[in-house]
Amino acid sequence: MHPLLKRQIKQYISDTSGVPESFLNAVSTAYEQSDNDRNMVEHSLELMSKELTERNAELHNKLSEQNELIQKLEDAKVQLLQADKLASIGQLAAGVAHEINNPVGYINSNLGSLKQYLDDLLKVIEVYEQAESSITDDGKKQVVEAMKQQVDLDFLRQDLKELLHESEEGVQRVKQIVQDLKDFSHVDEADWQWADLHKGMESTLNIAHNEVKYKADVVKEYGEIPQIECIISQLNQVFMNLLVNAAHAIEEQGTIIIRTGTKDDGIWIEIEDTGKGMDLATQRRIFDPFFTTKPVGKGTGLGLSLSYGIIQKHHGTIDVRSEVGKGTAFYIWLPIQQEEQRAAG
Amino acid sequence: MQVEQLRWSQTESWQPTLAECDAQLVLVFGNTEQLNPERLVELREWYPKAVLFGCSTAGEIQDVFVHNNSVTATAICFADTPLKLASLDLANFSDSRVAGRALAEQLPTEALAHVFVLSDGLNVNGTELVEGIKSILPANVEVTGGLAGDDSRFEHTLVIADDNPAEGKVAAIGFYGDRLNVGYGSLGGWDPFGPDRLITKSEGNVLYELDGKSALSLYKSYLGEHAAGLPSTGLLFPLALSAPGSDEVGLVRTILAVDEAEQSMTFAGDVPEGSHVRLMKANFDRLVDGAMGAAETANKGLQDKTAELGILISCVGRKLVLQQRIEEEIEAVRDVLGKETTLTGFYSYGEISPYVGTGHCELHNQTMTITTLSEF
Repeated sequence: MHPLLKRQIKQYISDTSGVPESFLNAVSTAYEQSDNDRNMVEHSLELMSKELTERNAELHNKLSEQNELIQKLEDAKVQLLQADKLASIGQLAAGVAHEINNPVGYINSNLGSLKQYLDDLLKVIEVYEQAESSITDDGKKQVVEAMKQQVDLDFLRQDLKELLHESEEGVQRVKQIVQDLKDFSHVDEADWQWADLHKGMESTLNIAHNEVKYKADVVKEYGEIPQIECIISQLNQVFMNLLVNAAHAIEEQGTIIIRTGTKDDGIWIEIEDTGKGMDLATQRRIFDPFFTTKPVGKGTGLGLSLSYGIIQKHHGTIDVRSEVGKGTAFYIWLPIQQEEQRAAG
Repeated sequence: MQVEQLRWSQTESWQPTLAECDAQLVLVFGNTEQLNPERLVELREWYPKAVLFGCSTAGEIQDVFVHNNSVTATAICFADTPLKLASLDLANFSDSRVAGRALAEQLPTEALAHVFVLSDGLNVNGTELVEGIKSILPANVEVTGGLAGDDSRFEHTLVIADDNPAEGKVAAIGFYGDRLNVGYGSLGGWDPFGPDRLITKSEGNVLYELDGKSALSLYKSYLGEHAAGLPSTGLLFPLALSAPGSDEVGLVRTILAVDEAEQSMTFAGDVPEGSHVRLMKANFDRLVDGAMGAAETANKGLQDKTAELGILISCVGRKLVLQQRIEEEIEAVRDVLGKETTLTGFYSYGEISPYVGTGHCELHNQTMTITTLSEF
């Protein structure tokens, strides 16, 4: 008999003889069933709560994952935009370079002619000077002498040479910069080629000259390196990035040392600066997109991340070592040949 | 029509013993173990012209009482409603749909007013059976009925098609003419609870996995100590099924059988992959209200006339929940239909009725399904 029924009988009915047993059984059974029902409901409630909590947690995780994914997608999108921008700038640079080439071309050629004509003119004056001694008329001699003084012929003769020389040098420099720009921005050539990295470094140094010249002396400790299979315009981008970073890291004056050499089946390039250096925490993050130690508005924080991507594409490695207050060195290793990697990869 | 009722019990044999009606149809419901061919012989003596039509049950309903272990007989004498009996053996057909079509094909369609079906309760896919039947019948002819029961044993169910009670049968009575009015209603009273689940693996009416995990394990964890009582304790947690792509909670599905080896559960009707389900639990009061609601709907079909006969087919699951209070749901029906209506019926493994939501005829579970008949 159900304990509750027992208690109720005890409390309210002294004598159960008049109560049919079938009735008592029915009541007792009903109580038991009621208990069972309630237990069942409680059990269900417990299980349900547990299930719902689990599902909640699952959803939370999925949501986090999704958010991470969304963030990655956004990062990738920005990177693409940046790469796209850079590509456009590259194209622009190539276009401008091409445009400048023309006038520079005829300035150069005109200078050549000018030099020749000036030489000729000077020859004529020489001849006149020799004839000068045979002028008897003092008046005429004085006029010539006065004019010579007025234009400062001696100085003119001297300076003309220098002017022409400097102009020629200037034009050569412009030509070189135009060529370097074109090399640097080879947008049409994202093809793999065999290239000499020293040449690439030189042309990049030329372009970066402005950023670097006031801050650092560039020291080259080049080894003997063979040509390697690469996309030279992209590697130039990497060199540019590292050189500019190095210059920015130097606060007042310093040195940038560029070393190269061979190792295993590849070549290595090291770009070291005497700038302010980075702590370990920063070193770990420098290749993250958008990570920058520069103030807001200065730099996108994408340079190293893009560089990292380029080195990866070349199946190379890029590492950094740094000491706060001493400086930073970036060490790049690139395989000489890509074919095997591509076949293996 | 004239209706009279008898009941057979082990202790008292047939009560009452006087049979006055010249019946054309006798509905016979009884416990599997009591449905002896002798009972039919006895009934034929009283009703020589009648077609004997019935099945085994998980409880017999007569008037406002629920009996177990007995045999009830309701004899109906129609004034002017011809009848036709159809029946077949499921074993002769490739699947339940084909069987349903074959069954319906046995009934001439001219002047057909309504079809009442009784089917084996364990060896059939109720959804397919109903679809098969409906596909042959004219659109305006509705089908009601139920799946035979076997107490809470889930072992053998029997159908009587004017012959000895037999397993594996499906039978139907076609009612003809324009004098018969039929109403029907079906309501549950079970509430969905807990998380929404997706059927990820199933085949017809056999369920394997929910959300990629064993459905049987899920049931067992919710049943706790009652898991030992599967499949009958599975009645405590029917599934609320929404069709794939739909939000509406449409149908309720109950377990008929469990296979430990396959880790599968067989339901009375289809449980298609991609459907959303939730577990349901019984709401006591709503079960009784559901019975009332079904009666009200069935009444409406008769256009304010009183029903002469009410056939109540109620799910065994309701009996498991209402326990000693089971008769409350019958009394609720009586309250709605009135004192004049003769009530008969049984506790089944599945109910067949048009679904109020879609108007389509469906296999239901966990409902009280009522067919009311009146001759005008």
